[in-house]
Amino acid sequence: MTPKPLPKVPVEAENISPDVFAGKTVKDIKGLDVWAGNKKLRLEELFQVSAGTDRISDEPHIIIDGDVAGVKQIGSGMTRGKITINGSAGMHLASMMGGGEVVVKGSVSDWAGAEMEDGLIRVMGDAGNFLGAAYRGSNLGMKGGVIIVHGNVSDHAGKLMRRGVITVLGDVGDFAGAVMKAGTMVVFGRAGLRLGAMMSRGTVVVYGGVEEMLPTFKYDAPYSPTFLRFYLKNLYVEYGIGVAKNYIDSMYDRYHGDLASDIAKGEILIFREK
Amino acid sequence: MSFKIDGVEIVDTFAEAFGMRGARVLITARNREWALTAARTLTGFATSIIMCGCEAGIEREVPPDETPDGRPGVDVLVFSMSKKDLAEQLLKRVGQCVLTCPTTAIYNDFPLEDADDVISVGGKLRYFGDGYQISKRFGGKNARRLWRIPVMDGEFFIEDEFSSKKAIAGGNFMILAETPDAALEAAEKAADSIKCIRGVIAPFPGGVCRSGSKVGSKYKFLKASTNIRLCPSIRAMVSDSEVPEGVSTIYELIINGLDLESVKRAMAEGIRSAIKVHGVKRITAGNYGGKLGKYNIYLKDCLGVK
Repeated sequence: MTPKPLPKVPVEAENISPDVFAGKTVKDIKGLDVWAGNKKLRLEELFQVSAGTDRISDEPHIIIDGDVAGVKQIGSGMTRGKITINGSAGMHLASMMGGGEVVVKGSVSDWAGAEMEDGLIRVMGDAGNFLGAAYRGSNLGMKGGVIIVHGNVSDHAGKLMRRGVITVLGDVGDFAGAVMKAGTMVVFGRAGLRLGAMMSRGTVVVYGGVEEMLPTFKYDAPYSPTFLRFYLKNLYVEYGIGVAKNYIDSMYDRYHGDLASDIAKGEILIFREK
Repeated sequence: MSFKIDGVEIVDTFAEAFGMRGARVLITARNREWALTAARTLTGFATSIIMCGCEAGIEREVPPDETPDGRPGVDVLVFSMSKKDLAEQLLKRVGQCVLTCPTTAIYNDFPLEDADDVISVGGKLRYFGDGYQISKRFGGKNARRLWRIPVMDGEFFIEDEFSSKKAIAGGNFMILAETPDAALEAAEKAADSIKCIRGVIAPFPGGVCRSGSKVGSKYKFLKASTNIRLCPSIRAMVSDSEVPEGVSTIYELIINGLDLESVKRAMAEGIRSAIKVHGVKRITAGNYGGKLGKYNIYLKDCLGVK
């Protein structure tokens, strides 16, 4: 799919999903609804659509050849197949995803992977706020799956995260891991303020330093957890994150908290230079 | 009836083997020595189901690039009579021999999707963490679950569930030789060959058993006693002795495996190595007339002789 000149108002395109495309003809796909502001349009009005076959397979690979930074909800709720975006993508990318894979060659806006349950999201550029987080009014954010961001991430990454892995090769902004329930976030860059605020469980690992630790986190001890070797090896063997290999034999300073929460069994592991 | 290979008589008979339940566990540690220490401790006192609760042995060493955490590892196979017994043995042995050993972690090394059953091991040992244990899954809700249990040297990392597989125990062959040295050398070479086959172990000391047994005894309190038909020193005292003239020493190699083909391959490789030793007169196998065991493994079949 190649984007035509897109309207200035945001486009809502949850129909751009392998689950929706599966089994349909190209003609059907061209006629799918998308919303530009309060106007309902057909997909072919915003995208040139073509396929290698008359009828799309059960596990389609959707390729969007161009920048769709103004298009929201791509891959939302998908459970299978693959989406590749050769450009940037808008808000709510693959939110509530239940499976499959999304690769974005550019950057993504806010709420990417929000409340996802399974699958893989890989962003080669940066990500906005609330990556893998919970929506307002929701108790739980990401419940499974893997998110990898090769650039930087803005604020509130992994907020209310319940399970799964978020890996950031760059920096994360403020409130990363806030109110985390479980799961693991690995940050190869630097973490901003209020890291792990109100977290009850879960793990945040930081290699590039923390702006300032909250006073409600208590220092435990130097630590070399075996589980992190397992995770790092997974990252470089399964996901090609080469930098993970450099840290497989590392020591960390372990902090637990947030003591402001009821449970306070979250952990922050800060890489110790040799 | 018999046939010859390389001048050595091979009795045309079968090994009678039994169905058991098996598991493969992978122990890793900071270095090879500690991984082997944990593995040897776990597989200690595990030669025979008769009195040891299970039969266990080291299958192979695993290089760091093949282990889940990138550290040196050892694969261990454990066999028991039932899934329940296997679960109990794994829980005891992992809990007492691996959890206690410095720097170790332990993983299931047989795919759950190919298992006949699933056993909770980490899921039970996690309580040792006394509420401070942490569960981890890398990925979605169907990803494998592992437990982090705080201990004095950091954490013990253990997989929640382990595979239990229908397996085979009691593949065997016997080496009959003219001299003690020849018999032992042949047994050692056979045991070394068997170590190279994946999916099998020879659970007796060094892989070799010197005290083959028979069912029953003249003493009512004994379930099993020495195999008098294969004891050379009392050959003339036993009317139906199977010891040929000129044989001074017999050793038996017993092989357990996760599948029948691996057991047969191990028997074949073991026999081929043994018969190369000068002084080996005959190879035979132990059975109960085919009345007890599920599997009759013919030596001819293993060796590819028609």
